[in-house]
Amino acid sequence: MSDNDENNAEEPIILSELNDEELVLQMGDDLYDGMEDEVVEGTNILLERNWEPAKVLSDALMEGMRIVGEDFRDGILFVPEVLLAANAMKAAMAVLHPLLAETGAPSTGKMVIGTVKGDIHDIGKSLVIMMMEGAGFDVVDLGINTPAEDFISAIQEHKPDILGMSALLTTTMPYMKVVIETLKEEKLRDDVIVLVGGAPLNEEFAQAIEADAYCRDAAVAVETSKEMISFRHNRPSAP
Amino acid sequence: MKTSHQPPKNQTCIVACGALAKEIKILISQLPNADSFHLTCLPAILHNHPDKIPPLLDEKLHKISQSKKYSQILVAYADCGTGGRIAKVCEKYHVPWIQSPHCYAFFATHDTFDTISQQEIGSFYLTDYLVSHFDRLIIQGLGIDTHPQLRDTFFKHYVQLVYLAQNPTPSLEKKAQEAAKKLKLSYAMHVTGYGDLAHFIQQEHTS
Repeated sequence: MSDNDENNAEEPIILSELNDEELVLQMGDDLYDGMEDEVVEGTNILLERNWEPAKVLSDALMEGMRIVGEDFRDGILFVPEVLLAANAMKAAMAVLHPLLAETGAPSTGKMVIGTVKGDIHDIGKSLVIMMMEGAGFDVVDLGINTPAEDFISAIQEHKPDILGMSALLTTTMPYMKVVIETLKEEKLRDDVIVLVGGAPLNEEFAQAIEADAYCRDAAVAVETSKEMISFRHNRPSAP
Repeated sequence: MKTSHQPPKNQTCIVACGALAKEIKILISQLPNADSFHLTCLPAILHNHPDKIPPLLDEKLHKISQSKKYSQILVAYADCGTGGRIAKVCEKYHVPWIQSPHCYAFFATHDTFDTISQQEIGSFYLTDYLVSHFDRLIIQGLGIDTHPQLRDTFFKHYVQLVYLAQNPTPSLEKKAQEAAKKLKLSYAMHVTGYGDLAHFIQQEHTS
């Protein structure tokens, strides 16, 4: 082995031997690379070091996901890589979720999201969930093929700030209008910000069905959610 | 006086998705004025990145329009998951496109595709081109070759692979069946021929 080879040979990284700052940086790298086991291990190590669950989320995971989101938006990362990161994030959130609930940690907001009835596609939705959780939102995932009544029940139960609907098919996207009409009938429309997304959608469609916004991708969904929640909180109360 | 800036009469340029090139060449060859058609394509790999199609199509149409070589330009793309952005580019250049959601629908034709998709909403579709290039576009394109766990992430809600066949051969059928096995899906085949793609080329060449 040459000197050069020796210099290039990578020592295995023992996460538990890193100090907090190094570990957080390493977790960001591992999240970026979709290394699920390592991200979960790092999460557990920080918790063992008495980090608050909310701090693990904000300092270690959210920062990592912010970079993943930016690189996805800028075309540096593509869907497969981001899905691997999403899976790693999901695994870490499975550790943190119960602890966050116990400690009553503040969240950026709450979202109920589902793929509409007749549609089984959930890749875009998974990316939105991951990015939203990475930005500190609580997300309730209703899954795929979701009928209007399930959206209504979830809104009544969870009282979210945001309702997200996803569709990949031109044949299923009109169902979003059905859900919005049902929200109006149930007098819930003004209680939630309605965001819609999916490949065949556009802004004109979102306006036509009276959604609050069309989100082109997961990063836009996060930005739009934050802006709209902030606007809601800042708007003057009705006289 | 010479009219040097007039485009040549009856010269048609078809701008197509690379995944349709073979089928379009066959359709052109069946036309009486086949020699007056020129086919140019954008890369088929854009199938996996539909957001990149509209700007590249715009660039291509701009160059072709500027060349003044053609009296007619056709765009052999459907919406292809671009949320109407391909239609907007085509409107900008006043050129026709295939008014359909995607190639699966225009090969199968609208009503047949609706019937197939309503019978099983968990259907994943392949055409001749996608069967031929399944490993490169689907397995490698979606990163399943290097991260096998992504197979479940991408396909967990699908139930069947539907091969929409334009020109089926025993070799393609075998490959399609193997593709279904790789994705752990059941298998079905529908022979569609060229469907609405044939109508598009034939109607537009006479318009």
